[in-house]
Amino acid sequence: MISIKQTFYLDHNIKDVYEFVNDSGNEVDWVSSVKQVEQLANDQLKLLYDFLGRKETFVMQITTEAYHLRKYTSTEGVFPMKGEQRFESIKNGNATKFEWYFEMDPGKYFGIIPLLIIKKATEKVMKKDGTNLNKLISQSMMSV
Amino acid sequence: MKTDFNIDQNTSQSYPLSKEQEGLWFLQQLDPDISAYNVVFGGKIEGHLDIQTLERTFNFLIERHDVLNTTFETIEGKPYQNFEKNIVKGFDIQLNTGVSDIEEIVKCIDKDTKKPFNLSTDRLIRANLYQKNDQQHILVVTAHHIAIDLWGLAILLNELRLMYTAFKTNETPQLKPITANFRNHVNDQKALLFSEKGDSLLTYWKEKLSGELPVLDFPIDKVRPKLLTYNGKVERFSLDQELSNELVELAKQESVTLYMLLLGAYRILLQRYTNQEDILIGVPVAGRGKKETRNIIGNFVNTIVLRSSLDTSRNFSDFVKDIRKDIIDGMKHQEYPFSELVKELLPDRDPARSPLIQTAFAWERLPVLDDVMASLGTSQDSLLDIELFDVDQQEGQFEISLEMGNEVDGELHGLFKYNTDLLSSETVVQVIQHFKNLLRSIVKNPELSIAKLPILQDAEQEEILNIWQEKPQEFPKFNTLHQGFEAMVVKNPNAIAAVYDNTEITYDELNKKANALAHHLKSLGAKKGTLIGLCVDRSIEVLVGIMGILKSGGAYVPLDPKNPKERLELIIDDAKTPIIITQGKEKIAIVDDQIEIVDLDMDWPLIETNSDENLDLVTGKDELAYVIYTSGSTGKPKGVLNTHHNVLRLFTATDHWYKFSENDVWTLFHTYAFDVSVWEIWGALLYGGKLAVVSYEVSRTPELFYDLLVDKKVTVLSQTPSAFKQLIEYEVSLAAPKDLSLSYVVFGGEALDIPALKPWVERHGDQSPKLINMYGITETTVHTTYREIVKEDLLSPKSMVGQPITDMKIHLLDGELNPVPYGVTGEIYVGGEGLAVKYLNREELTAERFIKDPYSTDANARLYKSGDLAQLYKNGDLKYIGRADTQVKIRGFRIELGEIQTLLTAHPSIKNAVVTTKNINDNDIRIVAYYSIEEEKEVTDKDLRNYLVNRLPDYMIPSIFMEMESFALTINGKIDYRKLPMPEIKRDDVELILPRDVVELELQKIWEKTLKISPIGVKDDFFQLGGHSMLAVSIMSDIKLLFGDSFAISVLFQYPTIEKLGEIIREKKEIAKGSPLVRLQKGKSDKHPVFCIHPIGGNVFCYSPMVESIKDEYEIYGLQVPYLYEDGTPHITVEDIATDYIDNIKSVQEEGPYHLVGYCFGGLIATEIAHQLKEQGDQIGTLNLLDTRSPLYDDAEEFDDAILLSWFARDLALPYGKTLTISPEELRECESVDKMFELVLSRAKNEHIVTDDINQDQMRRYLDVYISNGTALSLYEAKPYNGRINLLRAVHEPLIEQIGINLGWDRCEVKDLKVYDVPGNHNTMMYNPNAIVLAGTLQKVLAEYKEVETAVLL
Repeated sequence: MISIKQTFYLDHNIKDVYEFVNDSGNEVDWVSSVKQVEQLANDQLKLLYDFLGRKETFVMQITTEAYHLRKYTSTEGVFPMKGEQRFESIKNGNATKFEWYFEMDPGKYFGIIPLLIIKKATEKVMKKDGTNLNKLISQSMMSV
Repeated sequence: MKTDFNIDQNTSQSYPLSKEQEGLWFLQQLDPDISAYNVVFGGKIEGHLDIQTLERTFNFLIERHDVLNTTFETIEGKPYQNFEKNIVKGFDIQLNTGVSDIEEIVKCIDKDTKKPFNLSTDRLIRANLYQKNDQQHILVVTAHHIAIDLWGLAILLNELRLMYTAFKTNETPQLKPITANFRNHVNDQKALLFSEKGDSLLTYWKEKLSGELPVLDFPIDKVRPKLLTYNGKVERFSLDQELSNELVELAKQESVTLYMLLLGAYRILLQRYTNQEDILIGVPVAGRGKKETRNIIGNFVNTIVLRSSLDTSRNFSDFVKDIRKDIIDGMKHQEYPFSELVKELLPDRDPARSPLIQTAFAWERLPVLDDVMASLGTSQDSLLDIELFDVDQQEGQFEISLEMGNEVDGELHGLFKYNTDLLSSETVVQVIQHFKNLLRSIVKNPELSIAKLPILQDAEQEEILNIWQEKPQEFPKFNTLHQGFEAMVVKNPNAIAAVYDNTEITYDELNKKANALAHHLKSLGAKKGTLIGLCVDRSIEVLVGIMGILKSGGAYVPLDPKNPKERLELIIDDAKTPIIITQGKEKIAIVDDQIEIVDLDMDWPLIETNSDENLDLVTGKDELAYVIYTSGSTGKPKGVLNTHHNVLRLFTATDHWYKFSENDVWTLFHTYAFDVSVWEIWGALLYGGKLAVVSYEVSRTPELFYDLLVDKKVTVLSQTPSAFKQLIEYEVSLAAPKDLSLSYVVFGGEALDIPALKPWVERHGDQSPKLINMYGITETTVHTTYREIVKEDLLSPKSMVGQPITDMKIHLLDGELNPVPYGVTGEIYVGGEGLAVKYLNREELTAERFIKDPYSTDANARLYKSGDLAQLYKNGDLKYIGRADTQVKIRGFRIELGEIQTLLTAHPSIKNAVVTTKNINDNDIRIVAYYSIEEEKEVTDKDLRNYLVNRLPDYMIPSIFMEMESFALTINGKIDYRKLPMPEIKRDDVELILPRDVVELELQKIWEKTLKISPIGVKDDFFQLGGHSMLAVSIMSDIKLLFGDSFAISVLFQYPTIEKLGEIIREKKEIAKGSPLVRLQKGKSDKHPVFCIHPIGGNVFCYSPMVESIKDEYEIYGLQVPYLYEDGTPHITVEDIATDYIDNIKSVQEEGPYHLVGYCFGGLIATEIAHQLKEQGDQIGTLNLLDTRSPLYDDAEEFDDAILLSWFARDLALPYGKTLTISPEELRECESVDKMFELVLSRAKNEHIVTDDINQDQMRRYLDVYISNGTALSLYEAKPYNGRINLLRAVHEPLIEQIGINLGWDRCEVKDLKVYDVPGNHNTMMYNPNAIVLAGTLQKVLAEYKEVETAVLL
């Protein structure tokens, strides 16, 4: 079981951040291990992940509390995983604290790759993604 | 018989050369400037000379003898002579009218006659005319020996006079008709070589010159050039009428010719100068046996080889008859060409020496020349009145040669020709004098044995015997050593007498402890002369023990516990020591329970109850002080008895040189079982100085010992040259020498290789400290001679040992105890106050070695026959040569090879054994044991080594063992040492396995450098490769420098292979605990280091070939993943890796500019390092990517464990230039991932990619690093780089269109991308020969940066 929690401080208001993250169309851009996204019915997403040399499809059930929380839990896939993304307005509404919790239990899915490396790699990817998020939201605002 | 005979089928004008001509032609091609084969005639011409007529005469003669107008050409690689392609130009006489002084003329002649001939273009004869005035000329004719010999020159001269007169008088000349030409000779010679007669001649010479061919060992004055030279001079001499007549008479009496007699005398002279019984002398013969050859000009001279055995116990009368027989036999076989003989015999070629013969004896009395000479200057019929004018010629063909045969007014004249690059004229003048003395001795008593024939004159002998003027001697103030010490105790009781580690002892404390021990020993029965064993480890207790024993009246017998117990038992048994002092009884296994053991640890509470006052024992100066055992030829060591006086006078006699004082700090570097320790101990304690006792480990670890010299401020250092060499090597490895306090470095124990001191002298000069070479032996009390080594001595390889110290004397004597001449090798006989009393229990050996001094007026005076050889120079300087017998000195230790041989032969499986020394490489002398095995027995080299290790000190263990089926014997039935093969360094059946990681690679480099063998495999045994303890010291020193770890020498005995040594180095982990830095090359300049970052897999091994080819001015570091060899979690992002590596890079280079190199994935890390350094404000020198793809290119393909392990196997092998292919399909057949992993491990072992004993954990670490690197690679993203990137691109790597020819870097926002093509594909670019180009390209890039940097600074 791997569980990782990371916090990012984004220079955007909570609305912009929440809407960007909750838009499944942005998933491929900001979550680097996600290569394809398909919106299914009943707030479900079908995601193709590419991570540590493995490509695998998962179906995630998405639940949200608008501008506050976004949760995802796998309903299909080779191993269970889930995540929580919490949003908190800070700096008088000019910035957002973004907390990202992720949990997975890959078992022997990654084979010979040590769990420690899987965990570290996951941490690094999440960190990179969270850090990139700021930039990506800015770019999306500009394009708008 | 040769079969490809084909006589003169040339229809062209080109003819083959005679064999003599071939030899000369070849020499001239080798060195076109040779003039040693210019044949010269000089004549004084009185009266009017018509130069035009003289020129006309020469032209006539050149036309008559076409051999003088021959040119030589090469056709299809073979030389030919062309008699018809004449040089059309008329013959000019070079007229010199500018000089009249005869000395000036002689100089001009010398210069003119030594101008070389160009055999392709020059006419092979020329004439110079030196005009003193209208009536006086000197004519000098110079011709190349390829065209003419002395006989031919006489013909030419005779015809010159006749023709000149004929032209002047318009008369018809009376010239003898020419009935043959030189071509006939060439054909005849060729026919001979292909005839049965030719075979028969060759058989004779092969038999005559069978076996090992001797090389002349004439003592030379200069450093022998590496390549043979031909520079020479001549020294002329004459024998007075009386001696000449006596020689003629003696020749008649002995029924030999004068020629034979003089040749025999020369043979004896050479034996005296060389000590060689077997010598080859070249003897030229005219080669004009056929009548028709006698009137033609050409080179017919051949050389035959005289080889006469010389038994010096026989008399001259008998010997000269042997010479007669040899000469007559040789003459009968003279037709076989010498140059062909050399080809057939194929003697060992030494480019510094002429083949086969290095000396010659020529008899220049040719019948034709006699006739011509007789008529010179006397003929009334000739208008060309020529009188002989001697001109030196053809010198330098040999090292030394003698020409005789000329006789003037009843006096025999002769001349010695010699090579001036080897000998001085002074020496040759001495040789002439000795030749004359020898001839006088022979005529005086031809019945005297040859060995007894004196060659020195009485005055010369007196001069040599007394060359070192006796100097006023001072005598020691004390009778005993301990009295001298006690005087220092009184003078300064609180001064530090000795220090060991951090323990110090004052003079007073040492005295009191020694007194207590002495009282105790007395209570146990010690009295005057009692031999008391001392068996303690190096420590202050050594001094307490020695001093206590001496104070008790006894003499100490060193029993160094480092020696095998069996050897110690032999010593105890021989010395019959009733008491042994030890420190821990386990040090010595005493079988005799009558021996009293004094344990300085256990018994000290009892010992210290004794009085600590000085004893009132009155001891005489001639009482024994110690018995030191040296190697003995019978298989048992022999004890040398030395007195207190022997030691005390050593310091008195050398005091005027050294002036030692209480301010001096000495080291006790050597074991107290080696007599140099006597010098070290008493040099300190008799002067009130301080003695730093050096532990065994420190003495074997140069860097620790060097630090000790610094820390303890040592002023006087005694060293064997071998040990000091290690110290020099260590110091040279330091950027600058540390603060040494040395006043003297005193060498002893073995021959000093003086040029090896150069690096030291360059750093320290020759005065601070002074470097003193002292020859000495245990039997003469440590040191016998004194020689200060100064800078100028470094130019010569001679081991100069100087002159005897004041109260000693040395004679260099031959086998008859006669002094040898200056420069000639003789055995060192030592006399004087330092002579030991005798050998213990070896009366016969004592009588043999300590002989009555035949040159002393004191009836009791003795000389010690040392067995060492030396030469004496006229300035009184002695040059050490080596040993006369089977005793050798290796690393300062005297070793009787017989002792090893006796022990080896005693092994139950050994049938026969011979132990000798061989020079393996430059001055690398090793002990080699040759052995044969009893039938049905088996024994390995290792068994024999272990057998000897238990019985002999390590310095006596042969470094190479060689099994022989049988031994070649001499005619006397003794083993023929000359036929023992050169030892082979054996690998047994061990496969050559090359290094598999950086540790092994570095160890391999160290081993190859030290053992001078390449390649060495990781499983090769150090000792099988000829390693010995001193080489082990060197290896451990290098390991310390490179890896930072100190290991005891004994580690090599436990772990004698690179593989095993590598394991313990890795286990120690201190080399790189958590540090990725690995020094790949030590730099020799202040240039900024180069950092090479590992590719995927974390190993920097792949850089080895490239680094090998980079000039060593660059310090080169590798950055590899430390977790390859230790537990830990590798980084999984390039950014983290870069941050970590920057910390380490800055630990060796604090500030930029930084030079970064990265191969493959390493290039990405290098780029990230550059990014981060720039962000920190540091400067990047060069950023060099070796075929690294940009991170834009993402070819991430899906993989499972089988694919991953397949890639891992492939990439594991790559750094070693190997291939390990295991397909995913094959891996998938394994039932589990663990089995897959096992398969990879097993295949990697089979391919020797990993060590046999690698465990799963280690292999797992490799894999984890591999995966981590792979993860980091997949996560890294491109970013703009505001600087220059040098991309060294593998040109043979197939192009991937998606990435492009610049590997994607041109799309990465790089400010300045410079691309260099290097040969090879992505893998092979890193291996030779491609790695050489890669290294060159990288150096070019680095050099360009340096230039730009310099320009900017300017």
